[in-house]
Amino acid sequence: MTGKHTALDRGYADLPIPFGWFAVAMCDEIKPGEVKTLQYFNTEFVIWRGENGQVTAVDPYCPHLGAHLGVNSEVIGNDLRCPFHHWSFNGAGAVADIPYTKLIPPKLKRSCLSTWPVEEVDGVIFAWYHPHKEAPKWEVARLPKCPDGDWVLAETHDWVINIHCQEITENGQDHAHFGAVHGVPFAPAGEFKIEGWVRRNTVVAEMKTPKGLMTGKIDVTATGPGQSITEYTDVTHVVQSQQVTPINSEMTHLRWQMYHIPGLSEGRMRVTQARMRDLVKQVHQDIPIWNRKRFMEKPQLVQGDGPMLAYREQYARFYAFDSDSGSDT
Amino acid sequence: MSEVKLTIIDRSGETHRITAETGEVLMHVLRDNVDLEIGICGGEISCGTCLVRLDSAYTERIAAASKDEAEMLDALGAGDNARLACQIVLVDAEDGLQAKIMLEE
Repeated sequence: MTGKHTALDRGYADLPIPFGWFAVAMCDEIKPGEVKTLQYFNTEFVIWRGENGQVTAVDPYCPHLGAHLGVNSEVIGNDLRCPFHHWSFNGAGAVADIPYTKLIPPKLKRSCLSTWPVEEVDGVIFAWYHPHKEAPKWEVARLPKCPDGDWVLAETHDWVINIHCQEITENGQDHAHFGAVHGVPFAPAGEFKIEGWVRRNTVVAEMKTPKGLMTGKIDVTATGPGQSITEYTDVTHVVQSQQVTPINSEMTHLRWQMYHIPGLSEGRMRVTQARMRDLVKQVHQDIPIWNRKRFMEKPQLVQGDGPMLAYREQYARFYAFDSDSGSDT
Repeated sequence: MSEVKLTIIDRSGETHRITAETGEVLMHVLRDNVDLEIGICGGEISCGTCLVRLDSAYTERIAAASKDEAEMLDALGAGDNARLACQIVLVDAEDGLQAKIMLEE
């Protein structure tokens, strides 16, 4: 019983999974010599890290006789060895070794096991998902430049939420929920821009501080459907790097890494920690609503709600799965 | 469809005289009449067990090797008139076909 076409149908099962770069693990979760099966995008894939440090992701089944490459397989050097007949595959998905044959057929020395594009950026492993296996259309976004030295990673968080990933990132465009859900004073209108695969929100606000009013700035840069990087610049300077990854159309893995500038005084550190605590408190206020809400295809929006439909218009490009449509022009 | 007379020399040097039909794949004829371990990959150009040396007159009558087959023949170090029987569709030949099965066990 899925609740489909009943009063309780939440509408997510019918939404496609968008293409894009998505976080699939933290870099330190796949150590050299380790192999894991990951379940995302309503499918699964096998990922390993060779002794040379290189991460490879492949489709789960061995092209020889179909064993699951995540079950009892082993990383040998830089290659993944299938448990069933000890065929080894390299990072290009080609057969590197068959221990019992005199001749590895030339066509198997080319790629015969489908690989997934992977990138490691700022401590996160990203995989490119496209249902037709089209090549990546943009690059993984990186943290903004730290004004002084290197960002300090202060906290990481992750949550699994019962909702389609599109709805989580729609939240930033939903102005009226900030007051109702989070109790923050109504956000002054910021700048909202859509440029190709990127979405930017910039909010400049006067903030009360112990030293009086000061100008604070919040910059959100969302790149594709999977990545949002938010920079808070005021008495402190915090970067919140967020990734949403669809497990399927109805479940999303949400990850945060929170950074601050180095060399904070004790007082500024307290403000910084309070800011990070507040952000976590806010997501804990969102999650119960996300877990049970339904998708409103034609929402009844009123003045003050925010540019959610402009957001959805851009988002529709991540569902344009044929290569002719949705090109970045 | 017409008959083709085949003279096959197996790995032990024994000669088999077989009558096949045009349009048949040579590998299937060898597997069913000579040795069930010929063509174990089923025609995927990956096992090399159906490697044969044909008489040169017959080689000229059949289609040339594809890129995949040529690569495999090269990897096998097969030499002139050698072909994979799984890629050979039998054609008419007045004098029949003489083929020697090459790959050692």
